[in-house]
Amino acid sequence: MLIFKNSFRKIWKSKGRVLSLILIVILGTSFFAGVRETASDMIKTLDNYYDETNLYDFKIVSTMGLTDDDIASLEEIEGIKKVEGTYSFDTLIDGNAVKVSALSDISEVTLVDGRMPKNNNECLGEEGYYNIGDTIKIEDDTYLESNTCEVVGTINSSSYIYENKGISIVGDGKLDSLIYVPKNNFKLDYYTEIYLLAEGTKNELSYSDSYDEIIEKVNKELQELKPLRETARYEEILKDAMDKVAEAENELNSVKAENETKFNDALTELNSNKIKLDEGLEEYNSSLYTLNKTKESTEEEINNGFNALESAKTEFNNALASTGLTVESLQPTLDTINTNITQLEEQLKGLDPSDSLYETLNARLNELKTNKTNIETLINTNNTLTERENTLNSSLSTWNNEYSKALKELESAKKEIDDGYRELEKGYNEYNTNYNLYLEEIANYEREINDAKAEIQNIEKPVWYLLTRSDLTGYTSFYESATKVDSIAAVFPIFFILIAFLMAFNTMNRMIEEERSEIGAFISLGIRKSTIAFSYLLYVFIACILGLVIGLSIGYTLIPRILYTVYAASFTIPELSTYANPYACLIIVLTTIILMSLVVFITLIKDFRLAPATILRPESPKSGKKILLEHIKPFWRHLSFSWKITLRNLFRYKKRIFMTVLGIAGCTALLLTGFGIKDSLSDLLDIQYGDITHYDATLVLNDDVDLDEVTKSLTDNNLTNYTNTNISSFTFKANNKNLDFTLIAFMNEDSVDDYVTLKSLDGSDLNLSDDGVIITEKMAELLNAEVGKNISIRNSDNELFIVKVSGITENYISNFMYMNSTYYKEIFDDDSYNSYLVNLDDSINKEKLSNNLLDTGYFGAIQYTEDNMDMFNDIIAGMNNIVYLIIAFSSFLAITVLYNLTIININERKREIATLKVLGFRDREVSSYVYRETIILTIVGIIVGIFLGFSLNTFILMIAETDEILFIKIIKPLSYVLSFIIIIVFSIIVQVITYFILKRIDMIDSLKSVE
Amino acid sequence: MTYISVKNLTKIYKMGEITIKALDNVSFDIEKGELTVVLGPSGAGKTTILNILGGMDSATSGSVIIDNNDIAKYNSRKLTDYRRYDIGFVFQFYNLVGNLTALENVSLASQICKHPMDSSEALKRVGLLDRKDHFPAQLSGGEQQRVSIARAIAKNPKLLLCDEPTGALDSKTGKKIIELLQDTCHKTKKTTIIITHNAVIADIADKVIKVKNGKIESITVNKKPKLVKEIDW
Ligand SMILES: Nc1ncnc2c1ncn2[C@@H]1O[C@H](COP(=O)(O)OP(=O)(O)O)[C@@H](O)[C@H]1O
Ligand SMILES: [Mg+2]
Repeated sequence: MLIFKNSFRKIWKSKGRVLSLILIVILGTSFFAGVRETASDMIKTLDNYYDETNLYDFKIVSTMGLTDDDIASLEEIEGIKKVEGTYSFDTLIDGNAVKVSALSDISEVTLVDGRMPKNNNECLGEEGYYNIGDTIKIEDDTYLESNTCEVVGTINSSSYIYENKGISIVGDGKLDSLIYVPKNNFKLDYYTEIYLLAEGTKNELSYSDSYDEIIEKVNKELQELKPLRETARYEEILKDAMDKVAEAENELNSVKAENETKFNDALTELNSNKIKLDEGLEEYNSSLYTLNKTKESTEEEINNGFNALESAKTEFNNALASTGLTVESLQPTLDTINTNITQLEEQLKGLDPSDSLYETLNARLNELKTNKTNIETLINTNNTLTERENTLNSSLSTWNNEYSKALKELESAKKEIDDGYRELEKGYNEYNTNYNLYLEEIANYEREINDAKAEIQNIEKPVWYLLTRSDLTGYTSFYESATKVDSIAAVFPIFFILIAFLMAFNTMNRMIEEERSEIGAFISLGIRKSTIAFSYLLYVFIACILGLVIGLSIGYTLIPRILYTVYAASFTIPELSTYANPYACLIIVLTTIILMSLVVFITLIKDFRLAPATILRPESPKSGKKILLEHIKPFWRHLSFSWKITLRNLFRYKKRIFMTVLGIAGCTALLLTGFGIKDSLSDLLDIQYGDITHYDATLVLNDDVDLDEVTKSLTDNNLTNYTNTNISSFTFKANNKNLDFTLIAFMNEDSVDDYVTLKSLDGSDLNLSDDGVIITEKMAELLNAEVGKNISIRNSDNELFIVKVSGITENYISNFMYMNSTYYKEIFDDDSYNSYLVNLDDSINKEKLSNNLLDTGYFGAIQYTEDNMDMFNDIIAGMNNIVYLIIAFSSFLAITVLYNLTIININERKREIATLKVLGFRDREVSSYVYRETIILTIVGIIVGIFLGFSLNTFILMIAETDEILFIKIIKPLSYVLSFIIIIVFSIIVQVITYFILKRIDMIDSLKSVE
Repeated sequence: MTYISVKNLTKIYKMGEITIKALDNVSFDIEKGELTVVLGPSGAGKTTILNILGGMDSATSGSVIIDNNDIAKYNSRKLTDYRRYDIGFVFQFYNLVGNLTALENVSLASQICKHPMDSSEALKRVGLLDRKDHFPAQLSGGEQQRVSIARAIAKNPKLLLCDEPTGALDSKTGKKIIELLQDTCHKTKKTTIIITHNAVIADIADKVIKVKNGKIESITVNKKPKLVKEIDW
């Protein structure tokens, strides 16, 4: 059909217009499709990754480890597909907190480079942290058979996709890297964790409601099993412990029994020895006594003998003395006497007894005889005395001999006894020492057993922690990031595509109006209206379909990739797989085509209703009524013709102006919104963490620590700027959701300003009061709370508290509630504190500080504000990326819209322009004639756009806002300037293009016919 | 005094493979102040001659000497100046700017030349002073063409070129327009060239150039040109 040939010719002839139409469709659809698809692509990509690596649906850890029995009972649960017990522990390697895990079938690692380990001396290290060939040495030897291994491969783990891997119980509290070892390298007799795969979750998209539903269902079952297994494990552990105690007791008893007899025997022996010794001593003593008694009596006897001897001697001596003799002269005297006697007797013999001589002699003889007897007696006595003395002396010496002998004997016996005693004492001492030792030992044993028994009493029931994927930092952070994309994607592209449609509408509408006479000619020729309509539809379809195909291809591939790259920076995630959503495609294609067709029909119907003759005549220009401005004569008179034409054009063709202004305004609004979102985000962190919650770190105290010691450790670490606070997590209910917030109670309210700046929304300073709390803006908004109103909050044990609001403070990230110690005590009846807010010197090494503080054991956690900032930074970086995309696309759209508008304008004015050229207007003059209108419309468009953009920005931020983040709804002056400049620059670029188009307009051609 | 001297003018349009020789070795002279009528059937090459004379199109070869300047050698900038200062054009389809009043349309042209005639004066000449504030849409075809002539003469051009000025008008109105043109020519002594395929008009001209198939068929000089009133339409 020739009419279609005409259509194709038209397309060829109006390349610029078709091109701009195609571009607009491309921009609109690609942005719309792409941005809306990004979040879903991201989630699908991750879901694939999770599926491929069998990421667990549940992870169970227990405070007391897990057993095969646990596994067996888990396997019986309905809805559980696979159960695997596995191991892991955190340890410090070169000061870094490393998680060493067993390689498992559930939650497999992805090998990036190298190979899997073949034996216990090989292991895998996380990519980026370890290199193949590294040797890993693990100091703690409680867990592994082989504590040294060589890295033979590098891996990624789908459990740890975020650069922030979560907390670790060692080091500075942050998990740094991962190491995987073969499972049988673990020598534990219990599992540290159990991984579960639920039935049917692989078919569901992670993060989706249907996935959550399955998890919820299985979770219920697990929750039911949990107490049973906890009790079972408790009993098992209890039994084990009791068995151990019993065993220890038995051992103690047998030790006791054995040692007791030994000690008893020893003691008996010692005692019997002692008795013997005592007896010996007694014997000795009595012997000594007897001896001494004997000595006494004997000596007395001897002495008596001597005494008697002495008196006999005295008697003798007296007798002797009376004789006048000495002992020595006795014998000679006797001998003399005897000689005398003999002589006398001889003389007597010769003498008669009567002889007087005789008588005399006889008397003399008698005398001599008496003397003789006396001397003889004396001699005898002397002899007797001597004999007696000798006897006495000999008996004395005999006695003395006897005595000394006996004494000696006794003494040696004594010595023996003494030695015996000394031995005995030694024995006793030894015995005592040993016995005491033994007693101590036993006491120790007993204490241990008692402790063990006490411990058994204290054995806490094991607690199972049922963890799901959402407990993984990476899993949730990724979703947050993806949904942030979605929150902007939800509304923004709609405005984008709206402008695209508007422009396409404008293009078609004006093209048809331009070709009015041609349509008239066709109708007058009798060509069916449907055919005419179809010829225009063909024109639209060709442009739209080309635009759609290119737009959708770009939208479904390029845009998600661009947005994804930013996430790839803070996440370790696979390449993005892009998906074309067939429904969305169909909807976009159908909507585009239906809308475009509608435009064609609506515009054509206006012409079709008229008689062919009327259509043939050019549409009479809107009657030459004067515009309002013309009545201001002095003003009007001074205007040049081109100004007059411009102004008349502006005020006469309202639809055209409206479209142009709207197009430019739309692009400006989109740009401004883009910049606005960026403005809202860029200062968010600085304001929140620089101006509002400006403390540098939170130190969380462990329970029951010596606060003096804690204070000392703070001083030791040069921490001087800190304040005592009680920080705890609470929830409040808003929009049927339980939302978290942090309650910070300042125990010393004078120092509040050094850590947190509380400012009411009108900018005035807020102070903590004794009878109320200060809550953050977002929280107040969600709770619909006002100053003076009561709000209800719940602590982590779900206890309800009612507090009064005394102030609402400016805050953008997270929700907080602040109170002073007085009010805290009133509400919670507590004045203890559990943490410190700290301001750090710039010079401080945070990692070292963390290590030092955690080493003291006083602190459960140390959180740096900077780390918090980093996390939000990632989210914001993601949002920023969208913003750049918005700005880029809005710029493209703006330039296309401007081009499109100018092209249409020129097409409509060709004849006028040619006339001017013929009249001798120079190229510059001709262009300025066209420019002026464009410039005015552009500026009006920008002004309208700035208002529109302000509202759009507020609207989009409102939608994108979460319960956690309050956007600062400001647009910086620079953004206004930039939006303005960008549009103006584009407009200038378009003007330059226009200049050349105008130059090429052929005067002769344009003047040939009526239009 | 020869004002216009066209020598061996050839114009060839190339349309892909096909070349159309619109003018083939055309030569003619026109005296200053002469009213010339170019006659010929449709497609003969009349408009082409006029476009080249008016500086709207360039010659393929040959020379077009106007007032001792060979405009065939002009670049586009010089041609613009030539159109701006020396040429007054009257189109078959008037080509008035719809958003300007009659007076403004005239002023639009006159404001850019060196010695323009007063716009109201020009409108008065064509008898439309009372309609000066009307927009083209409010004027009839003849009136529009008169505004168009006023616009052309207001520039005080050296050369007034009219391409079938009556082509879109009924004969009565056409006659009036031709009358206006002849009158203007006589009064202002402006060299005027009128293109027409209506042979009757030839009688009013000082010189008649007949064109056929891109060639000059004949050039006749009317010793006694008739007044428009005298001719029968
Ligand atoms: N721009 C053009 N391109 C191609 N051929 C053209 C062009 N202008 C005129 N012609 C051809 O040149 C010849 C002369 O045309 P023209 O001078 O307009 O004739 P007319 O005498 O009817 O005014 C015609 O055959 C026409 O087809
Ligand atoms: Mg012609």
